Amino acid sequence: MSIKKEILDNIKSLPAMNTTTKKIMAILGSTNVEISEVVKIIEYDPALTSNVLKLVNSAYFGLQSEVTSIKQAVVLLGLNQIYRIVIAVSFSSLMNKPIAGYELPSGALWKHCVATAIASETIAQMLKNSDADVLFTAALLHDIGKIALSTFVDEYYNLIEEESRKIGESFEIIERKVLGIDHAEAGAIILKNWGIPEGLYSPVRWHHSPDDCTPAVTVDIVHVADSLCLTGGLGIGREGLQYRPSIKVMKRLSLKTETMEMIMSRTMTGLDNIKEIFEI
Amino acid sequence: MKTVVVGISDMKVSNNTKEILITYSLGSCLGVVLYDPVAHVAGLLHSMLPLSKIDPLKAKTSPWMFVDTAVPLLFKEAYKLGAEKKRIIVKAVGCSSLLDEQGFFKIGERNFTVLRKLLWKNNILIEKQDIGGNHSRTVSIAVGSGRVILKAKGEENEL
Repeated sequence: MSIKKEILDNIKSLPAMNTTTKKIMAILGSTNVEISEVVKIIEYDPALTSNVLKLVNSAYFGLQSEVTSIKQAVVLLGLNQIYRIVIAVSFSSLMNKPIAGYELPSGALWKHCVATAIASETIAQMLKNSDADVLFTAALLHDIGKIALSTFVDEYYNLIEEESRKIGESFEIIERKVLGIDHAEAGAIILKNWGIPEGLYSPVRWHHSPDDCTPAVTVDIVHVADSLCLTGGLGIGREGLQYRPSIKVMKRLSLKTETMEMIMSRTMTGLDNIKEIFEI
Repeated sequence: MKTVVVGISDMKVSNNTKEILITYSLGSCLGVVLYDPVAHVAGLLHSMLPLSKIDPLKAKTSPWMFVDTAVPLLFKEAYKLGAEKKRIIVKAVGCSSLLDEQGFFKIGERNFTVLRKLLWKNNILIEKQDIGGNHSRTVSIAVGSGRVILKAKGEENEL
């Protein structure tokens, strides 16, 4: 059996996504959503409801009195915050685990993904882009493929290292050469299997190779945010900084080094603020 | 031995000879290690960005984030524990970059430039350095011996 086939089988064995989360993801980015509809979706799932309320009542939000219903939570915090909380609750346990193949200790991948989500949001604000909700979620899930590739990267690391030395290319290219698939493609397949809309999985699919797809600002932003968070050492694995930023994207977004540094600084502030709800 | 972890945008100084100061995952960030072999004072800094002027408010609450505000403070903290400038040994690590030939993300390079300028102005030399490349680094210093261990590319070496 080819390595790629084994990886694809491994992807199939991943747990299915919670139906409620899927429904919430399907409405991200829609402008004409009824609050009552969102409340109904969340309340249909008692476990999720209780976890969301636990977070809403945590010290982070500093609310005066106890919130006992999702409706109250939406009124007090707004839909955007509720979406983020639902996504965080849904994925943190899966992505908080150690990812041995990439030498990421427990919590490191999640921290990298949360930081990338905040950086994406910061870039979107700077560019006056209005895809914030979609961007936040796509960025949060951009490296989910590493979960499926981890054991294979570990098993074939000697070959990966040898290939890296030989061709000195970006890590996802080496992954493709040795394993037949890279973590970005694996991530997109996972999300596709979960029935996540294309707008969300396309930044995941192309986050290392934005030049290979039809230019899209969400792909560009996640690409830059990911590159920046890796540079800053946030959830950096054994492959280090062996990734190549796209010249075309950098020109399209026209971000200077000083601007990137400002985004990095703001991302760190955002990360401090969100630490508690994302358990990082 | 007690291990004291220095996080991102963080610094620790110590004169407890039973301690080891360590910082993980230096990408483009700069790691500065100080040691006074007579007073047995060690310092370790993990700075993320070169200049505080991009976010002065952040520099107030988190001075260790920026090389220009962090390095002078690092020396001051070491002096408080009895270190003397003439005896201090400085080692610098980190400042990696992506495969970024056009230099869009040259934060690491800029971090190192700011450090060199600051030290040069103050007549302080860098005794040893391991700077650049595309890999991440972990660095530690044993306060008792001043031994600096650098972990990079799966290998551990003394610096």
